[in-house]
Amino acid sequence: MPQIGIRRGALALLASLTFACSFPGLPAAEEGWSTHSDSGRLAGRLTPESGAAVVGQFQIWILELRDASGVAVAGADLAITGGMPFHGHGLPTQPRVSEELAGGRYRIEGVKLNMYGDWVIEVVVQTATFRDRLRFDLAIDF
Amino acid sequence: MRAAALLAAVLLPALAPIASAGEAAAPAWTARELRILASLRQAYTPPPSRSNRVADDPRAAALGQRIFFDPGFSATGAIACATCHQPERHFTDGLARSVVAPAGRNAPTVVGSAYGSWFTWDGRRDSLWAQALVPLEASGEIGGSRTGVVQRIGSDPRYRSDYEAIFGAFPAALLDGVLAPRAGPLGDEAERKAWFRIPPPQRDAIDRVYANVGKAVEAFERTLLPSDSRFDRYVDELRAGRPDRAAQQLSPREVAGLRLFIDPYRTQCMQCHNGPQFTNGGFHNLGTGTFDGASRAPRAEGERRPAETLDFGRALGIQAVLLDVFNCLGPYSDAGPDDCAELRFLSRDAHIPLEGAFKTPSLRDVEKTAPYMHDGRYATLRAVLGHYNTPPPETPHELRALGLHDRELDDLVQFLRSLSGAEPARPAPTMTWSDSERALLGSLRWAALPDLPPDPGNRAGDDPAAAMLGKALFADPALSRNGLVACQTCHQPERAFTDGRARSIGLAPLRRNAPSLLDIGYERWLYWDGRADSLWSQALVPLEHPDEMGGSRTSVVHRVVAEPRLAALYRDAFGPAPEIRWDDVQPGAGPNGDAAARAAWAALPEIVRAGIDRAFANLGKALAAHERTLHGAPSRFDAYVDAVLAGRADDAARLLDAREVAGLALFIAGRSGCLSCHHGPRFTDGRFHNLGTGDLGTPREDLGREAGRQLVHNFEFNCASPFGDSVPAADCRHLDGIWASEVQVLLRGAFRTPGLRNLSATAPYMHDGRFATLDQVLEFYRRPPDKAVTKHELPRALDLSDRDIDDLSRFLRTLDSR
Repeated sequence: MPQIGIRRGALALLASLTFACSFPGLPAAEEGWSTHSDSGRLAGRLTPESGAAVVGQFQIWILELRDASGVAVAGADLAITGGMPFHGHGLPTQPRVSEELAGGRYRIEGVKLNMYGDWVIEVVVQTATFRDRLRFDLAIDF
Repeated sequence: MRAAALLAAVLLPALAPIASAGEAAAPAWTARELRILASLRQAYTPPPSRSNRVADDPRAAALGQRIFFDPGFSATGAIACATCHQPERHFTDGLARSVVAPAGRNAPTVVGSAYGSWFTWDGRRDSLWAQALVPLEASGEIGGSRTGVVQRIGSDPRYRSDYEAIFGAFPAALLDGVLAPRAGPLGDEAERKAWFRIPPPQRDAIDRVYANVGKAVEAFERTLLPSDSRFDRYVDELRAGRPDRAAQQLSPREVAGLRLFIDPYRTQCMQCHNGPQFTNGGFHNLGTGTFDGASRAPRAEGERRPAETLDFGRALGIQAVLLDVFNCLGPYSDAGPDDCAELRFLSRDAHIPLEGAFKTPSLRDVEKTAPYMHDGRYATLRAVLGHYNTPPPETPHELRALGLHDRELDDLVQFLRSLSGAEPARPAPTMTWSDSERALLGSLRWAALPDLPPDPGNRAGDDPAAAMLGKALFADPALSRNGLVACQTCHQPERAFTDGRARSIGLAPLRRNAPSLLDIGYERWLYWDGRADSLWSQALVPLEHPDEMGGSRTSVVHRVVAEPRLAALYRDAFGPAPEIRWDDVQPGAGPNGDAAARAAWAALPEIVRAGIDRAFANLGKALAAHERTLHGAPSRFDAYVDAVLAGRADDAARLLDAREVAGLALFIAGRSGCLSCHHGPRFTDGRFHNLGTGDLGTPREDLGREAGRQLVHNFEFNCASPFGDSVPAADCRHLDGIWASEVQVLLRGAFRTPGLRNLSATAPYMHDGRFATLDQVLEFYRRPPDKAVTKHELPRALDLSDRDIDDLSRFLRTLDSR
């Protein structure tokens, strides 16, 4: 049993090394906008539909989800939370997935950041087989 | 030590400009900083109001404006939206907490509210129109009930016609007083019971009208937008690459304040006060909420803390907006399914930070909106900055201590003051005039001026040939003794036929002010004391008066007969001149000259005197014919009344501004008393009144009408004279009336009421020009002289404020011909 544990550990290490170098199947993104889940099982990337995050306006963001082997994760339930830990408050709005697009892409509506600075976006991903969390650390500047 | 500190305190302000001069060489802005500044620059277009299809309809704005200023919706008849959102206070009320809502909060400005997404300090409403409906039926605010408001719209003909032009037919089922006068789902117990007795379909119809009332108010409020400030011009100059011109917009200390404002390490201003309106539109916890009814925090310097009431801020606002039937997703919203993002993505998580969180206000024009915070606890911007610099330690909040020095805080205040722009351009509030007021306004307008009444004493009064002669005579200085003084010396056409002097000067200084001749043909009595009862006879007096033109009767008639052009004009108007052997007539002969002139006149054969008299009288009739053609023109006031009576509220709103309308309202109100004497389309009763200006018992004494009526009685050219064309028995009853109807005791020092049109051109004022400005005249009426001394007929004193006086003055200037 311990051996299995070691094997799994080695796999996880390998996976995270791989993720750290390059996200399989996804091009490198701006710092913070790509991350992987707590367990290392998932890789995610956020992209504002308009190309850049804008303060003070409602925006549509696209979340792309892949598993460790680079396969799109479809059919997941996503719960989005977040806030500005430095200021002790949450998101000013409650974003939601409005549509699942092809290729493990999810359309998120209702994002409206109202401050410049360091934001955290957390996405809890649930499928029939697992529950995991992605944390994006975003620096919103002028 | 103390002396040194004192010295420093005295010297430091004096040194400040030197220090500031040093800051002028502050480093240029970086590209990133310029982007930040650009992000704060004024924007001009508020986002669309998706839930209100008439949000940008000018007709709705005009209706909404009327509602906004109309106290008639309130339970007491005294409170309107404008009670707490006063235009002259940048649409706030200047109070910590609004008086009409004693348990409430600070009244925020309406200016720029169109940029917001959430309304009231806790965001309990998601549109301006839904917000406007809250105070209308809130018992502590305007307090009209929902049915009362709807009833008023349906029963007032103007409201109803304006409403129907925008929203379609007013529901027939709500007409004819079927509604309970006070019913509504948010009223007191009796009102709620009455509301739920109304059948649901009818309630729905009521709610729809009520929602439309709010939508009209929103349309008006959306027109109230902040304008560019010095800060905006500073940014424009920087972006245009002109730092030298930018430096003319903001002082070095204001720039220092701006640097602090955008510095995320030294301050956190821009966390919440970002974007063109200097607000992120969000809700933030500054530790100012009150949850236990009494804050434990010690009072900060400059803090004016009101009686505490529980206030959980946004935490309860979220609940309220979700329950609101008038929200963006509700049945009375015009929004489409993809609109209402704020509500659809509303964060419903009433987590701890939202308890006591309040909406970030805009900082534009912030210096005009004191006191500050949701409960007005801080009287000054400096006190607000003190709160941020040292946040309260005992309440949860999002702030951190900043550690700014006093001078830095002062710089920030200076910068904030640079965010003030001009007051929003807005149409005047069109007052809701009552039927009797409308009738009164109608009686004052130009269109109410009747045709010029014929002068039975002057058959040539409307003869164009006579008027041509009169016009030539009016301008002819050769009629005067020295050849230099004409009628128009004192009645100059470009000054509305006055001379701009306190007291006129003919051949010699005169004792009274030259009145305007515009529309003089309407006057029953001429002269300030009414010593003449016709225009033609009045015109003769100055010709002979030794201090005015000083001609002799003989010389005046001879001049006309001998001057070919005048002689021809005379012949056209009156036929051949009397045949007189002028060689036998002394030029100076006349009945009103000195002793030699009178003797020479008496020596003339009677037939010659009669011929000269008749010709002389004809010259007066010619002058009168000319003067009867001198008319003013309709004024801005007249156009306003025309628009009001025609129901063109938006036109009316463009014609008079708020102050002018306020002045008009005051003018016709009993407490000013203006209408007592100044009524009718010429704003005069044509009678004589004693204002105590006769200086009785002094060397300047002027008996006014008391002397005037004796003079007209004895006047050789009065109505009864054989030189006039009147039938005395029919046309001259007014001469008897002066003894019968005028009250002796008041006539000593009484003068004729002048009209009020074209006052801008006719200063100075009163019979002796004693007042150079209208404000002085109004001040005189406000505090008249001692009644015991002058026996005047004015009220003791008028209850008018300085602002009232100014409003009246502004209104009077709207009577100038356009």
